[in-house]
Amino acid sequence: MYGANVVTRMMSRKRYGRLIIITGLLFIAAALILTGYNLYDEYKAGDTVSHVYEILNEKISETSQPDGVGQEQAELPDYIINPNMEMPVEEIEGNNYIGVLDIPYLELSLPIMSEWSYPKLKIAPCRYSGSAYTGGFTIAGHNYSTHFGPVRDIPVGTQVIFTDVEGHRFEYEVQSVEVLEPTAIEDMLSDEWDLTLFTCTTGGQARVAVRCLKVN
Amino acid sequence: MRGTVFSKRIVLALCVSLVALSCFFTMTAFARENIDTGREASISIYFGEDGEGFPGVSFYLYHVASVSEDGSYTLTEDFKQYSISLDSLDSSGWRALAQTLDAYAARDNLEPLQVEETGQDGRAVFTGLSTGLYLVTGTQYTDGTSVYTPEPILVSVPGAAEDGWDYDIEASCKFEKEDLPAELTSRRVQKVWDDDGCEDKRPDSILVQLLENGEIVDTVVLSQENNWEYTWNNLDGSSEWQVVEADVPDSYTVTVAQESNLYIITNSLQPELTEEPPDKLPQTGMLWWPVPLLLCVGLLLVVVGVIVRRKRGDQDDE
Repeated sequence: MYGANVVTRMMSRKRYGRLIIITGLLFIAAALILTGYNLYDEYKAGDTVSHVYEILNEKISETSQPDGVGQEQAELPDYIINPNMEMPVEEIEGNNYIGVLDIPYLELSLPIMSEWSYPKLKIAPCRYSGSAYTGGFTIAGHNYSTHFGPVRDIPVGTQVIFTDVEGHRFEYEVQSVEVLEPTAIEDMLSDEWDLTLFTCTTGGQARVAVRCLKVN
Repeated sequence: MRGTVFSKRIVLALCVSLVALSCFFTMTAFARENIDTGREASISIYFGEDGEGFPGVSFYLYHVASVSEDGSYTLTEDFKQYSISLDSLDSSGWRALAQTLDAYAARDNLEPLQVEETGQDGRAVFTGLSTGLYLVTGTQYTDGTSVYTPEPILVSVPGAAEDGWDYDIEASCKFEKEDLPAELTSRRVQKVWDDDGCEDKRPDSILVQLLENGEIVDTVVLSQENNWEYTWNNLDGSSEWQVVEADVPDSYTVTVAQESNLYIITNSLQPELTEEPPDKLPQTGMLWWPVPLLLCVGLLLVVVGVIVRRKRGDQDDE
């Protein structure tokens, strides 16, 4: 009787050990699946954003005319007469874009969407607030390595260029890089800066804000 | 626009009256005496250039709002049909509001309270008025070489004076001067939304009417598709051109400001309808944090499982 009990206990311990190993393997598999999903998501985002950038950049080149060609008299751009005007948009594949952002130092060129939403942020960085004409222009981007991931390590003094869909070019210079709490909305939207780019830290627990001022 | 000169003539009396408008809202802070709303008031308008008045020009007076003793306005029957706001306006805001109401009054053929012609001195005087806010508009004056188009103005009576209130206001209107013969001209309209954070309340499009001498001659749709702007070309330069927003979206107010040939239609969401801003910035990070956690837990469980199984193997051997 005693021997039968011992054998049963041994068998149950063996099953118990196997169950623990299987559970552990499932956890490892989940980690691998999540890693694979993130990498795929990042690859897809990079692919989409470069595709849209090419189309938008071409449209901007077509719209904007070289200075002095076909222009008898230089006219003031609309945004100077009326800085509160809506930023013009170009529609590409169902989404409205207000222009392109170039950061030559990071070899980063991105289209910028007119309004933000979580699905849109997966395609391209989005305007969060303000406009290039009034200042307080704030752009949110995913921290994909092909979106705003690299801006977290951008040095002060780096040149940032935004070109609207009508070809008007706005040049900025990075003044500082700050880390803000996700609830620090007022700080993020400070009027002190002409342009702010923000994205999540790697863990997603805070936001990195790249503060820029116009240089021309 | 070639051949066109925009002449600006700012007269002290106009500034005083515009400043007086804003003073209404702060007068309690200066402990100014209450307005005598039963007192008769008058408005004298001057229209001229370089000290030479333009005679024989008709000016129209519309009663926009009455004013209470404490300085708050109540729109009159004629004007309360329009989605406008008299709150928190600066001088450019009052100017835009005057242009907005002038266009509506022309489109809807509102009956003026009084009509007066300027005399040889270029003055038109409206008398026997009750206190309140008035819109003054005028017709064009031509001297053979130029056309002078007076800008509409909003005048509040009484106006603020050093020692109280001035119930007899003198004002002078700015004007636009255009050389003759008039050439073809163009007009542009742009839409501005003042509703940050509440963009979902906007309509997909709005209708804008172009008025030629007060008559609707064209209606266009502004939407995201045309970037909320439109240009009319080849217009008669001798006509008076205005634009109005046909139907102002619910919960919004409207002003139409004119800057040279550009009309800026601003729709502002009523402050009480603006939404609370979100309490958090958007999450713009990928879901990486669970990866090391899942890996560590998984590896730990595998190790524990192996140890448990080994123990069983040792006991079997014994």
